[in-house]
Amino acid sequence: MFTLLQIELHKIYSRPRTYIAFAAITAIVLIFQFAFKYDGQSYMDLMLQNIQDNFEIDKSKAINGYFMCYIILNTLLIQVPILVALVAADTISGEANMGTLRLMLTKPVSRTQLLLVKFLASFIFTVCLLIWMAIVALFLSLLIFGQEDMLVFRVKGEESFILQITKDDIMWRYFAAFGYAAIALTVIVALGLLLSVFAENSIGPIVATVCIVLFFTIVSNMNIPVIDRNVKPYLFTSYLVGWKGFFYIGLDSSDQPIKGSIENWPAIKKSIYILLGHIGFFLSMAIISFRKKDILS
Amino acid sequence: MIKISFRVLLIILICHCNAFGQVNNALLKNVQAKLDKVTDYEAEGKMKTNVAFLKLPIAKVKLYFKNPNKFKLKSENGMSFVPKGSMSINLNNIFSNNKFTVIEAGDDKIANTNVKVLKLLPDDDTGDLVLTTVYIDPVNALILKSRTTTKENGTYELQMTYGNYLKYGLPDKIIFSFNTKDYKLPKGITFDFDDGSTQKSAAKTNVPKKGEIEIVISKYQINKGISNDVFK
Amino acid sequence: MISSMNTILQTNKLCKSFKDFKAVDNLSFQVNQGDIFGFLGQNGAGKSTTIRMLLSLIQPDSGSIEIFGMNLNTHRNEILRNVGAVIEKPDLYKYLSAYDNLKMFAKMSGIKVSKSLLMDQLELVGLASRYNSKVGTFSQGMKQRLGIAVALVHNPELIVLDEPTNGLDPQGIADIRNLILTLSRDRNKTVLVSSHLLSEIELIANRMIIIHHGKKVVEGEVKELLDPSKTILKIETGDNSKAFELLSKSNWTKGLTIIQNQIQLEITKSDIPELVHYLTAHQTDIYLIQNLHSLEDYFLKLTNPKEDVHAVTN
Repeated sequence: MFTLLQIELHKIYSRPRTYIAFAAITAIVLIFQFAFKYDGQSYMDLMLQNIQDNFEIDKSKAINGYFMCYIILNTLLIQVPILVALVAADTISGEANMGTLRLMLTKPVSRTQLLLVKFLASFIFTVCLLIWMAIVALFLSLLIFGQEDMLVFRVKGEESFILQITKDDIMWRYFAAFGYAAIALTVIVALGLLLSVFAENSIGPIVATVCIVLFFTIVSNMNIPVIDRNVKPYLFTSYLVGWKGFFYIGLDSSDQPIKGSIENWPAIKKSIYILLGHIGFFLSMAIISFRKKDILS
Repeated sequence: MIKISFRVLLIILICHCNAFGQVNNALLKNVQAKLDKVTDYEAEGKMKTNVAFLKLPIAKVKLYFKNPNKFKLKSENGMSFVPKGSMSINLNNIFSNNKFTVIEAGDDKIANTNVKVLKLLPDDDTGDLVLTTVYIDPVNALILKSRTTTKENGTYELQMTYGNYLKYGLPDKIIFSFNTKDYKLPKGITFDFDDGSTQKSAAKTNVPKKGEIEIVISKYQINKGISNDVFK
Repeated sequence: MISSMNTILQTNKLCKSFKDFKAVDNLSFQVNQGDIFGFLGQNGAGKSTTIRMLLSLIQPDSGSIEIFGMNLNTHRNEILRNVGAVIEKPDLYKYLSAYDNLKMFAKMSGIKVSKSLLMDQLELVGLASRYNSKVGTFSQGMKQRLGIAVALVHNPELIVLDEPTNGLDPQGIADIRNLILTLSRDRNKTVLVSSHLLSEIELIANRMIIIHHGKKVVEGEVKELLDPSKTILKIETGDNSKAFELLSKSNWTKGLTIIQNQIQLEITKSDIPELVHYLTAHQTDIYLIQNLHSLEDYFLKLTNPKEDVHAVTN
């Protein structure tokens, strides 16, 4: 199993395509950092709106490394599924397209094992992508913008508000958030893998995975009450942003943030279970389909 | 450390302002006399913000004052949201204009203390300021409360509680109440995680929202001399 | 199920349909140890489907496959450990070097990999000097040779080559042919090689099967099947079923069938007068006797690609 995993990883990392994802992430992060370094104030003005009429806020302090990472993740974690799909949805179909799948499947390795190894390899790729994101979006931002308390701008139902998390209470939240993101992105891995089983070229399943994710994400963010109540809970994309839950700090009875707390851990836990359920479902479907599949490519 | 000017607090320093010097009111004169004992001070405080849309931790702050009207509030660590606003400017207006009429408006009670109520009406009615009401404890010559009404910026209120530094007329606790505007981010801008929990309460519309800042002050260092650099 | 000790591969009534199209129909054959077994049929005859079933790439609808005396369904991995295959074009990872490709598949075959082993294999197929070149830069022939190296690297007992000379130039074809002969002769490997060209099989195989529309036409020793003295005879008698019964008891049972009210069988030309005598001696009236053509002509016609083709996987 370990040998097979090594082989799969070797394949992933020998391909130039793999590095597109890393390059894309780096580029996006650098653009964000550059933009905020030179014009973060206008973003802050937008977010703070009329609060500045009543309060004096040091915006240069508000735009710090922690805040930057949050803003970057906010955008990136919507795009990263595409990058993950690029690799995951290609795993089987890409081999089918290249013609290597039939050769691989004449080797004394069970299809289940092979699929699991491919899943694991894509998962490791995803984790590497997240680690890279942590390095450039978090640690590089901290280096450029420094450490300070973080403001979280949040809309909940009809309410908008700002949470302030003290700087000594943030790092663990990022670790938790990246961990959560790894689970969330693994759903995309499993979905991509499942679609990959049915296709004989990589474009189909990649496009299909991306379309499903985009479509569901759009529906998840429509903010139409009927959809929010009846459809949203059933879309896995609604749970992809659950990492933010770690930044929704708990409040005491007088609305003061409680250090080290999370507002709604049960909701995050539930989201994690739902995501794990999706992974399990997609992966089992992929295994069942792959075992039965006639290799005609 | 960011330097933040909490000019609103100037109201507690009204007696230092020349304006009052010309007010021919015995009570105000007593108050001024008491405050005149302090030429400068430095103090530590804990600032708590009670504003519906701001969920902020208690901030450690430092307060600096120097005669006649220099005042500074600095946050010790982290970021702070420090209330500012046209009201403070308006206050300056009263005291710099030097022209207002004092009307004695009878007696009242604040937390079991009998107080005299004075209403200060600006002579110039073109400004934003409409009326300032002060509640003075005549026994200790202390301002316990003030309320200022403006044309544009609503009403704001200052309540002071005295304790250890009573003889200098310096409060242990200040509560500053003010009107806030609605804070509403456009939906979708934040891509929030909807955890399915119900929102606390439907926003009450059309009711002016109140904000409150509470500063508990301790460790006054009075008349030790302060460099002017602090106020820059 | 194994009919003799040295049977390496045996299929039993294999069937496979794709929707309404019957790709392989009731196909049974066997390959013996040391054979170079020719698998002959025109494009779309069902060769690739059958070969993919032998390699567990396609699941048969019915029938069974036994290799090395084990059922492929239940002992897949044990069997595949001893099978090497090149299926159609040998597609490999273009972005990896020849050496890396070989190493990867060798590891997947579960063997201990050493540099010398891999280089020996590359040497065998004449690619040692290009071991570090990316496969993307290889010609079709080089890829084919690397594919064969991949098929051989784990020293399998049975080698399955599906149309290994497709797309090669004459020199390439000759090289592959020599390699197959070497493997059989010097390394005592069993080779199953498919082709749509009788001429190719004829040159290397000792046994062969011909399939047409998914069905077996004939299976046997190449020498015997291609004996120019052998012919196919068509006979019409007054009582075909009686004649069929008579012939079943005779020495001329090879290929004996009744097709469209005519008896058909394979026979050596010199035996024809004796057969006529045998039937007439048993009071059978012969209305028609026709020497169709030599077997070779018949197979050539069968494997002529100009005939109607139902391509499934090719």
